[in-house]
Amino acid sequence: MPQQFFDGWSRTVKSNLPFRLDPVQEQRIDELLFELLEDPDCVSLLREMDTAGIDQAVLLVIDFGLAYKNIELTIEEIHLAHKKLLNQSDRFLAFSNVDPRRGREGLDLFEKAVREWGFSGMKLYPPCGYSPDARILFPYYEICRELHLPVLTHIGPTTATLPFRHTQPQYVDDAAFHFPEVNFILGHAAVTHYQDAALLAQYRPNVFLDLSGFQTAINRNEFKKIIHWHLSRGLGRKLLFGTDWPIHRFWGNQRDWVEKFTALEPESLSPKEEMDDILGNNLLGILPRTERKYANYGA
Amino acid sequence: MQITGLNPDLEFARQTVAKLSNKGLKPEEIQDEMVLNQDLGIDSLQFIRLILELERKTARRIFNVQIIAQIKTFRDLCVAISAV
Repeated sequence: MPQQFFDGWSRTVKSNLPFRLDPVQEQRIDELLFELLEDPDCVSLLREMDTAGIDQAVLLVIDFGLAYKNIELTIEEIHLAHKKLLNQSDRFLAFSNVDPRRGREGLDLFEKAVREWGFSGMKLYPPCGYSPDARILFPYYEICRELHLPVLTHIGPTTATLPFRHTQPQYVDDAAFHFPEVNFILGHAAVTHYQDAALLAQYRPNVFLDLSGFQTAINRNEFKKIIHWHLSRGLGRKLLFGTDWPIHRFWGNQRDWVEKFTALEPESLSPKEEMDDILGNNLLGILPRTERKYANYGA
Repeated sequence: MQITGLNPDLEFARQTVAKLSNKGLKPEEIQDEMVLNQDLGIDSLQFIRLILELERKTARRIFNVQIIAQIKTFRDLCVAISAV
């Protein structure tokens, strides 16, 4: 995570606390937040996935290279680090992200990632300064259409050092309209801007809603109401479970989040079959159908 | 059963939990098995306050991400404090 991104995130967290911090406590918050992110080889993540009964997780590349200065790794190096994780474990999938303003070189990198390195989807991070409906993304969507790759785009606020413009569900509509064969996943939108997102998912067959960030809604006692909102609109096949690792590690582990989510079932908010769809089947239904050919298990 | 006994750090934890709880409980009414979130109404923001106040009072670094994720009950909190 770039330092600038961390600084903005930390400032937001601290400004949302309902009490004043002294300088020592501010420093301590930074240390604890930094600890959250320390799992470069995903060892802790795999351990928690085992405990939680999670078979697979999607790892997301984010290209901050044009939004921030002095990024330590090139975007190609970041992709290669994810490729290494893919090669080490079949428990991971990865989505590629290249800032579309990188031109031909960026498109070539994306194509290599999805055609040769085993990336199975595209990630967008509009706070970096582009909209999901920007025409410069359409060549990427053409590739996604050809290879049946889903596109996951961030929805809602993020770190205070990036603009929130283009993070509303409406900015996905034009892309979803022009590429009806491409499935668009609205990251966090099952809980952030969820009413607008639900409307889009209701009327665009190729729009899906990711639940990651639901931990915040649970903390605010809003989650049951939100889930009911979606299910009462027939969106059980459009919801995708996610936990936004490692952001919410502070409040619980992967098992906690699975348990809190599945606890909805006995309360008749969601029947078992619908729960299984949300926990995995819905995503499996929109991932590319071809088997991974790149994995080098045990290497 | 109460495990805080005469340990001043654990007694301070009990006092602080009672102060931050929205359930209107007195310190002596806090039971070890009470879940901080559900039973005592310590939400995620108040939990940050709790760990900061405990570390300031004890002048020790008690918590890390792994420990924090394991703390569900008041007993878990006391175990974390005692382990350092």
